[in-house]
Amino acid sequence: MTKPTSPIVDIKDAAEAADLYSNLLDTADVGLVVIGADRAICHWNQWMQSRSGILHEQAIGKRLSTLFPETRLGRLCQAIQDCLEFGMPAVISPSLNQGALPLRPLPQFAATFERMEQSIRVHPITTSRGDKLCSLTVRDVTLAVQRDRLLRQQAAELAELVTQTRRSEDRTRAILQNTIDAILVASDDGNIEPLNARAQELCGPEGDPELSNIIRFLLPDSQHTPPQRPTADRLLTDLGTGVIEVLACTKNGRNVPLEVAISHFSADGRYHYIITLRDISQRKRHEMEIQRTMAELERSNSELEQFAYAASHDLQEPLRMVSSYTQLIARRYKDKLDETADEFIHYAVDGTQRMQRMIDDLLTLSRVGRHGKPFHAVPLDSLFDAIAANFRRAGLGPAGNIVRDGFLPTVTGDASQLLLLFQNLVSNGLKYSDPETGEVRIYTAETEESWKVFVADNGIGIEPQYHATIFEIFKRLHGYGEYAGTGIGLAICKKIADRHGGTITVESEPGKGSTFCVELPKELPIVIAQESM
Amino acid sequence: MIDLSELEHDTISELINIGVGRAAASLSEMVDQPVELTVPTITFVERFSDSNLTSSPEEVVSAVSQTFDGPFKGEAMLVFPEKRSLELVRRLLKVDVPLDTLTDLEQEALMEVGNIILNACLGSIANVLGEPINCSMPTFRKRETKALLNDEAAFDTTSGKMPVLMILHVQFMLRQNDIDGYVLFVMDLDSIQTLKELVRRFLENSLG
Repeated sequence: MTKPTSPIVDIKDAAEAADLYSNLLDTADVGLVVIGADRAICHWNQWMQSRSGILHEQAIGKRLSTLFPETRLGRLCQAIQDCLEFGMPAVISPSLNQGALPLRPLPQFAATFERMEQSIRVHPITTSRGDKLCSLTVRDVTLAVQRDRLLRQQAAELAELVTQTRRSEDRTRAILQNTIDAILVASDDGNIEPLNARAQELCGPEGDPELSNIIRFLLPDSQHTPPQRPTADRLLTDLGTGVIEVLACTKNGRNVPLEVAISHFSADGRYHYIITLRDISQRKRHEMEIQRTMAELERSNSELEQFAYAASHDLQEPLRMVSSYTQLIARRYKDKLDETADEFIHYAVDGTQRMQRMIDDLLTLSRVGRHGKPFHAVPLDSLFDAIAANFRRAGLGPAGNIVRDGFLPTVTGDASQLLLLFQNLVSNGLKYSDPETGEVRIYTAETEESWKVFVADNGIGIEPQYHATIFEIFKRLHGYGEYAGTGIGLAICKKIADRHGGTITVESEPGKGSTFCVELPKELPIVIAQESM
Repeated sequence: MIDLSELEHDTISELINIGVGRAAASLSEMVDQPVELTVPTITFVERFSDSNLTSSPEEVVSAVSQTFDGPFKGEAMLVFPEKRSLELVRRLLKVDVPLDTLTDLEQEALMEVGNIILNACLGSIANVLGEPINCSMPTFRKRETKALLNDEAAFDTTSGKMPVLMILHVQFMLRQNDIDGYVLFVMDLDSIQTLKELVRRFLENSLG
């Protein structure tokens, strides 16, 4: 046992002890107030002095309600009274009593807090003489209150966020659930999960058990053993065309054609695929309908062409007979019969010649569809060179009556048919104009997708009500005596324009000439491109 | 053992109700909204397990407890199921925070509420008694109902003096809602006899 050293402070010595306790109370980090039975303050420590700004000397002997008049009727004074009268201790919490005493907050809280937030304990003390005293212990809890506010605010924000997230999630789920398409997600381990009701219907127990395997086969670079290729009747399109269509056979015996779209995303460092299955039963039905109609149309069209060709071809033979013999009669019996007979013979010859021309034109018309040549680049300049040469050779109209205005491009098409088309238009232009001053002007305009070739004349023009019908077969606006023609020329033009995927239109005013516009596409539509191969 | 006449029972009930009435008045003033407090029933049981509080022993309760000493001694406790205590504090403080436990400050506020009510009840009894009761500062407890009275060891069980419980069913009425809690007085048999004696004397004085 070591000999106990004498203590630095001897608490047996009243003076020393009093000094020690007084120092202790003054250095405590809490406010300490003692109130006597007469309600007068008998202790006021350093802490209270600095936080209240009321000096020890000013506080001692005063009532608390004198120093702080606002506390007179409050909870604190009631608690002090209960303490002194009945010896009841009390807790005065900051939440229920904000700033029970008007104490200054520490400088760092001065901006947000007008007063220090306090937690006060009221406790009875009995002195050795038997006197009842009341002690107040005041703790500064401003920091705790600040933290509590922050916590509440963050909790409220979090709750709001959760509510929002939940709402947005509900919405997303509702959208997903009510989408007409079936949506599934596949992770890179080959697991396929239906995301909505429709997907569940197709891939679930009531759906098609094979569908998951088909989807697995369709997913790109599957890391696992490649799944079995689905049978041909389940894969409706060739792979590589960009459109994937599969056939789902559900348990209830329905066959559903589906279009499959696959997209992907990365999450949690893994690759996922989103598979969208769209029911295309309706579209498939329509497609088949269209295909059937197309086939029907093609058949009847070719039948018609066949008929026109056969008819005109077979008509030629007896016509040639009639034509030869009427011409023979004309040569041999001219001026040998009477004048009337000569006139009759003339009409018969003329009729057979017209008939011959009509049959020729009909044959040409039917050949446009049947005997088209493959499309090539056709320079319009040389095309119109050839047309001009033809007209010169035929000696139609004065030289220079076909005027080319500006640049003529190169178009794509069947050269001989385009020649026929523009030759017909130029010929019409000259035919319905004054033989002396008649002039046909050729010019072009370019649009983004097509070339427009204009053939304009200064002839008699066309009444507006006929603008649409002049391209119909056998449509003639004038008597045969006025202007020669079979009524097939513009029908041929239209058919050629059609075959080239283009259009032909007319703008005209009677007496001011007509302008025909042939619009030819720069890029041929797929159907025509295939046909012209 | 706890053979109180109807009159004595009513007297205790009356005293307690005066106390909680006073507590309600101070609470109303503090929170600046009407707070009503009633004690519909007072029961005495010999074992905690006899009380209907233990019907759900796993339920977590918040309790504010003060011990008292003097002519009769024991422990007074205000007990709420935890959820009810949250509700009570948040209604009193007029805040709605989506936190599922009491924060430190809320806990202290509940302690003050408990302190006010327990002081009022004890004060009423002290009044009849005519001399102060020494009570401790309130402490806060949060535990399962079945473990609430584990501090019974504080009582002298060796001498066979089992504690007796006076259970007050208290009802808070604030903002159109009832919140039910209990005030428990855990006393030894001597104390309950003292209380009974005091009540009898009080009745003699006031009737005589």
